[in-house]
Parts: sequence; C-alpha cells; structure tokens
Amino acid sequence: MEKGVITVASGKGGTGKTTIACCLALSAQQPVQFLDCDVEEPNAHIFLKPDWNASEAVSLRVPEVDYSKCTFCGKCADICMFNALAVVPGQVLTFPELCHSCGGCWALCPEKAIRSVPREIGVIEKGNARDISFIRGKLKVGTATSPPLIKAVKGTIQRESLAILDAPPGTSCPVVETMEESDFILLVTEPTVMGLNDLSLALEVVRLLNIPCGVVINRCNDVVSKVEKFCRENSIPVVAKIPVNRDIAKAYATGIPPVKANPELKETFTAILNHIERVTTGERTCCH
Amino acid sequence: MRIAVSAGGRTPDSKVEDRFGRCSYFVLVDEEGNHLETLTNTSLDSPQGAGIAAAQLLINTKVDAILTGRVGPKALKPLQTAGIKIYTGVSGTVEQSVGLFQKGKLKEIEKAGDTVPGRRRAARGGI
Repeated sequence: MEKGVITVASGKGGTGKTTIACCLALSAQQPVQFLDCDVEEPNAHIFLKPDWNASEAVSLRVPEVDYSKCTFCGKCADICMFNALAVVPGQVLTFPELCHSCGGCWALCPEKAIRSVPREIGVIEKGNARDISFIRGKLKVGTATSPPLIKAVKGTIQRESLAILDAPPGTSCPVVETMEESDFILLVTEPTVMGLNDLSLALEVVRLLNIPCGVVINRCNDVVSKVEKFCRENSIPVVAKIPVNRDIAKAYATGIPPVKANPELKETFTAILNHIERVTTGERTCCH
Repeated sequence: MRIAVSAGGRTPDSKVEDRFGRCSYFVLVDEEGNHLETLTNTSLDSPQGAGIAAAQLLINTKVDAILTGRVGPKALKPLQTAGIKIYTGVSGTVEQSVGLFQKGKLKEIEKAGDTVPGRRRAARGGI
C-alpha cells in the first residue's frame, strides 16, 4: 500500500490500537507517516523509538477584552455556548480553559472590544524511526479539549504517502476528529464482553462517518465467536486475528512491538495492508 | 434585598438543591421571606461552565445574596466580583434556609468548594 490514510481505533481502551498501528507501520514496504493522535497520553514512541528532531507549539485563539471600548452589554457572555465568559458590572471575566475558540465573541461584539490572543494547548513533536516519519501531539496538562491539537497533528499528513493514525480510545469528539477524512478505519477489539460492546459503539461512529472499515481481533483465544458473529451480522470483515501469546506480551512489556518479537507476524500485517489497499482502491467493495 | 436560593422546585416550600450551578430553579425572596419570583436555571444541562452561566443569570437579575449547598470555584469568581454575598452548606427547604439567614445563623463563604463534575459521559475524551 503506497498511499492513503489509515486510522487505527477502538471503542475500548487497551485493546491494542497502538501495538497494531506500530506493527502496520513497521510492515509497510515504503516510507510511512505515523501520527500519534492520542494526544492526551501518546505512547507509540515507546515502540517505534523515533529520534526527535522538531517541536512546535500549537495555540488556540481566546478572547481578550479591551476595556477602553467595552460597554459591558453582556452580548459576549450571552452568545457563548461554552460559558467561557461572564460579564459583571465593570468587568468581563474570561475562562480560557472553557473556550473552544469558535470566534463568536470577537465577531459579534458590537463595540469591537474583544480581540483574540493565543493560548498554548500543546505541542507537535516530530522525529524519524528509519523509514517512519513519526509525528505526535502532546496536550498541555490542564487543557480540556484535544480536538484542535489533533486537527493540527493531522495537518502534517502528506497525502502522497501512506499515513497511519493511532486514535485515542472511546467514541467522543477526539476520536471523531481523528477518524474524519481517513480512507480506512481499522477497529481493534478483544474477545471480551466489553471489547465487543465498545466495538459496536465504535462501529456506529464509523458508519456515521461513512468510511470503510475492518476489524482486528487482538489477543485471540478460543472465545472469539461472539465477536466474529457480530462482525458477520454487521457485514464487517475480520481482517486479522492476533493470537494471545506470552512471548508477545513479554516483548511488549519491554517496548518491543510484536512484529519485532515474532517476525512471522509481519505476514499478517502485510496482509492487512493489502486488504486495505484493495478496499480503498475499489478492487473490493467496502464493509457497507 | 433580593435573596436567591438554589431549589428543586418553584415554590418557597421546595427543597434546597445542593449544587449551585446545576440546580433546577432559583427561588427569589426578599429579606422578609416574601416570594418575589422564581428563575429556571437554563444552564442546568450545560456540558461545561454551568456554574458560570448560573452566576451570570443571577448577576443579570441583580440578586444581593445566594443561599445554596456548595459553589464551585468558577462560579464563585463572577459572583464575588459582582459583590454578591454567598452562603453555603444550606439544606432543608427554601423557607427554612431563609429563616436561618434572617436569624443570622448562616455563614458567609470564604473559599470555593471543589469543581463539580459536569455531565460528561467519560472521564477521558470529553466534548
């Protein structure tokens, strides 16, 4: 697979998104971009071990009030759906940590008394790990909203090459932000009741975004039938099953990804990439 | 004097609601205990900043004092900046708490309580 954007996601945390995403990147036949979009706690660097070479701050615009113009009319607080402003007699209080940078207050202030100032929300860090161009976002501690940083991380995607995105867990805005505009979504699950439940939630998001998808069942054991039945009933291909294996777990615990611990697994990941290429180039119909 | 009490119902015999920003109503009375009006707390279901919006509502309606269970730090800031007196730890009914206020038995707040969690579904992720 030479180009395209693959997002590795899962409803449940701890199913092996990062592990699978790293193995995919290590199994690609040509240079690949790896984007760690789990900006609240990025961890793919532990397995891919990039040499860092660049870092840039990412900021959001937040309101600042010019008191020489403000008449305390209250319009800004009134229209702010995030409750990031309060107007009290003689003062406008701003709560930058609640601001989503929608721009409503400085656009609609009748006195033009609000200007936007930057507030740092995190950093984008770049590095290289052999043929992998590694990019990660790191949210500043205390920042509550991660989608703007994820958007900035995704701004580094070069469409002419293959990009693999490691998504945050769950099904909320940060996940949607990561998934959007992907060519394929690989949903990683595990054969547990919670793994299956959260897979069904993640699938709902993928269906809303209308992006082709496939499932990887990680830590496979003998009780995968429920997950497979679910995938069959929903017409989603199970593109790979990674066996539960003590040696893989041991290597993982020391920061060695499965394909390095067990090179035979590389075939599995090459097959996943081939499957995705067939789906995204239209040689095979997608899951829905 | 206009006193706002965070309440579960619209009338002075309603129970006081503990959480300032996420109570259902604010029952307004004067210092004699006469019911003036009832405000619906429209920010009750805000995903974030409910306390700030509730504070804004009460600032806009020019209340002088608030009786409630607890107030978070974000709501406290505009309320204190506006010079509104805040009495916390209040329970029972609106009438009972106003009675205690009249007798001078309530203590004015000095510092804010912990931030009250919003209505987010998951700890990680958010809106």
